[in-house]
Order: sequence, then structure tokens, then C-alpha cells
Amino acid sequence: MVMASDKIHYDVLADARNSCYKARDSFYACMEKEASKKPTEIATVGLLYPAECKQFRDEFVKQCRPTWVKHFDRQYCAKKKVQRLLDNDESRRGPISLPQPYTFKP
Amino acid sequence: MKIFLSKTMPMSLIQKQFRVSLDPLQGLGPFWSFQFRGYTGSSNYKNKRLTTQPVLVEEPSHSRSWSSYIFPTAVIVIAGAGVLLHYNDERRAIPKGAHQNTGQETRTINKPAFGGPFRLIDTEYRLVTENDLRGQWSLIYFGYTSSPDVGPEEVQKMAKATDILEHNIKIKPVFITIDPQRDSPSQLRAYLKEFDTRIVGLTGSIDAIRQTAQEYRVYFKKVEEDGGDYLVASSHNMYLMDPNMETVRCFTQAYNAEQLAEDILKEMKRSSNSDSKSNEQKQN
Repeated sequence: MVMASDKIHYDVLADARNSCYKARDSFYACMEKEASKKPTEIATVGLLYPAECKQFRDEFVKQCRPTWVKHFDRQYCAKKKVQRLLDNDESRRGPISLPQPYTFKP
Repeated sequence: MKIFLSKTMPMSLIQKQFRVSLDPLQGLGPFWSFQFRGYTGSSNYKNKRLTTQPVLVEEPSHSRSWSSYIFPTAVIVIAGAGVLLHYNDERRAIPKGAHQNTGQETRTINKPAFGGPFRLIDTEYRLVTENDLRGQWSLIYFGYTSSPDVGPEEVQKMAKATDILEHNIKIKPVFITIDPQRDSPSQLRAYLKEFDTRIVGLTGSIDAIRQTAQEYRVYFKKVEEDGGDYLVASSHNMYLMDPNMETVRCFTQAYNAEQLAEDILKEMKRSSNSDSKSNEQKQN
């Protein structure tokens, strides 16, 4: 039967995975630390990061597969969104929907 | 000599009738007068009325008979449906007294309907079917080696649960790949041996994998294609199978290794209890 090539993908085995996780964690820690700085650099899937974390980002992208990078970025964005919703930070509220006066005049 | 003229008759007919009635017994007329003689020979009132209005008389009786059949057939159809339903109900009803016997059967019926035969290849390029997993409890996980985080976590969980249950009972962990194009047997062996050497890795052709996944109701789909690389979205469930290769239950991602081991033990005890109960019943 025709099988896939017998190549062993070493970049998904335990060592590669662990180094990928480490690079990822250090990058996101840097992002947390520099959260006050303005994000200027573009990561994937709409994530932005400040220029201070550039070297961590490069290490992260080097250690992990591109699809994994995107996957982790998406996860991080979702986590931040949930945190923002729970934060109860008044400064970022949208328009308040108060009951409006009835404007329809027949 | 009575001549009955109806308004619906054309003039020629009236004339023919007139002629025939004048000479009823004449056998030498043209063809149509023979026909009329047959009908009007006796010059009976009734016969004449029938011949004058053949079409009109037939029409109402024809439509009346057709519509009058609707009602009886409808009644029969409804009665037949009622009889069928009643028969079906009686067949499906479980009488009250048979509770002990059906206790075992209802337990098997309530099991989730996963599982089925499969033909896959393990890491040593040997053919493995579901019969090879009979005779022991097995825990099946459908995953792929290129999973970023969930896959390794689940396999780790499986390995740890197997370790915890080691002194109680031997359970066989099985890893079936849903990414057979990239997960060759040697890839599986390299991947799985980092977790636990007891895990059986199974792969195969894409058709065999798809059929197996369908039997176990596993959803999987290629997502996030990036050049040659992709991720596979799947339902991360673990299936616990008893020695008869029937699915006992499935575990989702929410369980950790200790809870997994505990629940597996519970299921085993429950099934061994019911087995002994059914044995007692058979003896009685």
C-alpha cells in the first residue's frame, strides 16, 4: 500500500517541543512585561508586540513551526480578550446603551 | 302505436323511431333500423326511455358510484393504520414482570454506539484489527504527532493513567493517528516512545483511518494550511473499551490523569459486578 514517506519529523518530538514551549513562554512573558509600551511590530493573526520583544519573537519563530506560532498567537489573543472583558476597566468602555427618548412621530 | 318524442333527440332519430314503431316486424330496413328494432321492438315505455337517454342515465350513476367508494376506503385505511400501530405497541412493550432479565440488556443498550471493526498498521508494520484488542481493557485516543499542545498533553495523560492503574489492572493505551499522511509508523514509534513504550500506535491508509474515525464518531479536519504544513482540528476524546471491544464511555479533555484512572477503575468494578450478577442469574 502507498504509505506516507518514512521521514521522521523531529521538530514535533519532545526536545523540539520543549524548546518551542520555552521560547513561546519567554516571548509572552516579555509581552506581559512590556504591556505598557506601544505595540508596533506585527506578529501573526493580528497580534502586535512592542519592539523590545523582537529578539524573543525571533527565537520563538525559529524554534516552532509556523502553524504552531499562529496557533499560539491565536490562543494568546483569545486569552487577552477574555481578560479585557473581565477586567472591568472603565477607560475602555464602548458607547453606553441607555434608553433613548422616543423619537418616532407619526 | 305510441311515439315518445323527447326534446333531446335530433330529428333524424325521431323519424327513425317513428318509422320503426310503424313497422315493428319489418326485417328488410337498413342497418340502423335493425338496431332500433332490437331495442324498441316491444314498444315498451321503459325501453324507449332507456334508449332515448342512454348517455344521460349512465352519467349520474357513474359519478355516484365513484364518490361513494371514498368513504369506505378511508375508513378501512384508518382502521388498518390503527391495527398496525396497536400491533407495533404490543410488540415493543416490555411486560412488567420481566425486569430482572432485561436489566442486563438495558445496560448494554444504553452504551454509546461507538466502535467497530478496523484494519490498521502498528509501528512495526504489522496488521492490527479490533480482534487484537479483545480480552483486555483498552483506552483509545485519536490524535496526531504534529499537535502543538493538546496532543502531547493527552498522550501524557494516557501514559500517566496507565501507570497509576498498573498495580490494579493492565490497560492498553492505543493512539490512532488522524494524520496518516505525515505520521508514518516510524514517526509514531519515535513520538510515542518518549511517553510510554506500552502505547500502541496505529496508522494506515487515509481510507482506513477515515472509516475508523467514522465508527468512533471522531471529527477531524485539516485546518490552518500553511504551505505544506497544517494542523488537524479534532474532537479530543478518549474511548474506554471493555474486553469485548464495546465502548463503555468516552472521556473528554477536561479529565486529568488521576480522575481518568479513578473513573476507569469505577467502570471496571461496575462491569465486573454486573457480570457476576448475570452469572448468578444464570445459575438460578
